[in-house]
Amino acid sequence: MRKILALTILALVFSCIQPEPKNSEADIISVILPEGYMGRNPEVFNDSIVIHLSNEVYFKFLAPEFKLTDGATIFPASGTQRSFYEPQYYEVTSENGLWKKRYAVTAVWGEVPDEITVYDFENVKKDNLERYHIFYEKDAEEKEKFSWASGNAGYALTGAASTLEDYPAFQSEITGGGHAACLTTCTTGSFGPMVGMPLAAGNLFLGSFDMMSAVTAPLKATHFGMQWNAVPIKFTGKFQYTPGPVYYEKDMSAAGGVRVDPTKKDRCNIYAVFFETTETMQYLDGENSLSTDNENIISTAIVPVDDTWGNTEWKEFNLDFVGREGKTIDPQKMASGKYSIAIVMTSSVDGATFSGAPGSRLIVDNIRIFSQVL
Amino acid sequence: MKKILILVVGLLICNNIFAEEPHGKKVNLDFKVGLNIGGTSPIPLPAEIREIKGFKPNFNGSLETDVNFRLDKNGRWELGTGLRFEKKSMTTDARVKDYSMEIIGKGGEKMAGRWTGDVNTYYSAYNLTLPILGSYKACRNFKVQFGPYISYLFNQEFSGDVSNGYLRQGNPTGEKVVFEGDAKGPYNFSNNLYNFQYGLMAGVNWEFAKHFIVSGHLSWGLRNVFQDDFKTITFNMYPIYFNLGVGYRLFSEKEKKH
Repeated sequence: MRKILALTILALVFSCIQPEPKNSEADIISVILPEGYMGRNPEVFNDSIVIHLSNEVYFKFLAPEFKLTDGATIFPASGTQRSFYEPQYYEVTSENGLWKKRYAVTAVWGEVPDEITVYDFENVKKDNLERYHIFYEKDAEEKEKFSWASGNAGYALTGAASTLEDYPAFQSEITGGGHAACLTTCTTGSFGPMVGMPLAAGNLFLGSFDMMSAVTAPLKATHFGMQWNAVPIKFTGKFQYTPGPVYYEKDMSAAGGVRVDPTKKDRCNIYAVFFETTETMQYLDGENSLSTDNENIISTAIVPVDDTWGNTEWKEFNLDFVGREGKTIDPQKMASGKYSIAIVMTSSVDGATFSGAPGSRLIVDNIRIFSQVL
Repeated sequence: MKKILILVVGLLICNNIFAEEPHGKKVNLDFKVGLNIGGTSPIPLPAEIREIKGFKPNFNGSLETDVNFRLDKNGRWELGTGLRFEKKSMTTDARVKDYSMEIIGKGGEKMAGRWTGDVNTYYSAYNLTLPILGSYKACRNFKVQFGPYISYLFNQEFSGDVSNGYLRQGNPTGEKVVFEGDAKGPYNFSNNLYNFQYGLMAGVNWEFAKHFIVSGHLSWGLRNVFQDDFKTITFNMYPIYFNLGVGYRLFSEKEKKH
């Protein structure tokens, strides 16, 4: 009897499923340009797109086509020729007409870096909800050139932060003037452990943070690397580091997703990797950025682990890029923009696996990359 | 169909002459135990719900005492009330599209937006229900009942999790956060439920053997289970449960066999 009734109710409910509503999303899913126009895959974010032009394309008059959420429309229309010497804006309207999203689309050539490239972390802006800092760099004309990536957007999901300084990465003032990047290992409140992320190490890197993977595959969410049309030789900078008092190892069987490891002390990690991009590896990620069997890596400059513990005074580093065995630079590939550099800084060396000491703080400044132009 | 069958059977054993009640009392008492089967559901289902993948009515017991007063000389009409202590609960698994959702951490952190994917929902509430039912007796031992009820609800829970999909943070144009594999986002709206419910009840009551009764009542809640200021769930949900009971009647109304 109970079963029959349950089935009857189920049948009634089934018969009431309404026609599918029209889509409310307004996404650009991908960008299409003629074969050979792009040196590497475009970066498609939630409201911006970066097209990496091949160095064989000598103009920025482009007519990109866009793949959109089903049913959505775009203005100006897909395939309209526009000048991308300035960022171009597109408005996407959802199928149901209720939602609009504005995308900024920029097209860049891989520039040849200066002999010395300077990153001093003096420029920050806030995200569109004004929750956290985003570090960015300017070009010679004082225009924004690119942004540093961090896990801040992922941390924002946890709701554990209420001020800019609660985030794992923010800009801090330093005594003697100027600013530095301040990276802190944070706990993720109670939400983080539910999705297997009890800790968030402060990190800052060249590349992008993929929100879509933030929950499901956090190691894959950090996309390391930026086109670099020169050979890096030297990586220098300075940092301070204070490890947090209690080291936690991720352990999802424990309460809160972590257990205390009294034998361990936290360390920071600062490194640069020069690598070749290939069709299958457009960027490095948290799983493979230093792997010895990663065929794409050409050279690395890693601040030695022993040096990264407890420097409450500024400590300078001055490292040569160390080439991996058998790796050479192909000038042809260099010309077509196939090489990238990743600079990665984190307040917990094992932060990628959600282990570390909450409160560990890394302050970095005066990063320099010395390059040799081919 | 079932009800009609019961009615037909009831009529078959009916005595056509409606003289005075066999027990001769103006008041009668029923004691019942029962089961609730049903769901707490939006009516109609909103377009955001694309598929019901699973539904479990759960085990919901009820204990009830009813008192009925004879209204007319023949005892064809009665007015009754009672007290029913009952549980109403269900578990559903649905596939939704663009469904307003707020995942809440234990520390009160919130992650709100539009969810597309699977939603697992557990609803449970203990009810102290007071019905006021008018009865019409088709025959001495079979009555059709209808009337309003009020319920006081306690130990309520409305919780679950989302999985296999993605959340658009804030609104459909927000950042897309994917939940795949084992990743689940829990939610809990237990504190956003009203403690009072009212609705209509309709059913039948049959004394199938001397002193022994069976009954079936549908109670249809008419008040949204969620508080007015709760905006995350964008549609109203109503408890609709069928109670199947068996019990004992203090004064038998079944015709004495001659």
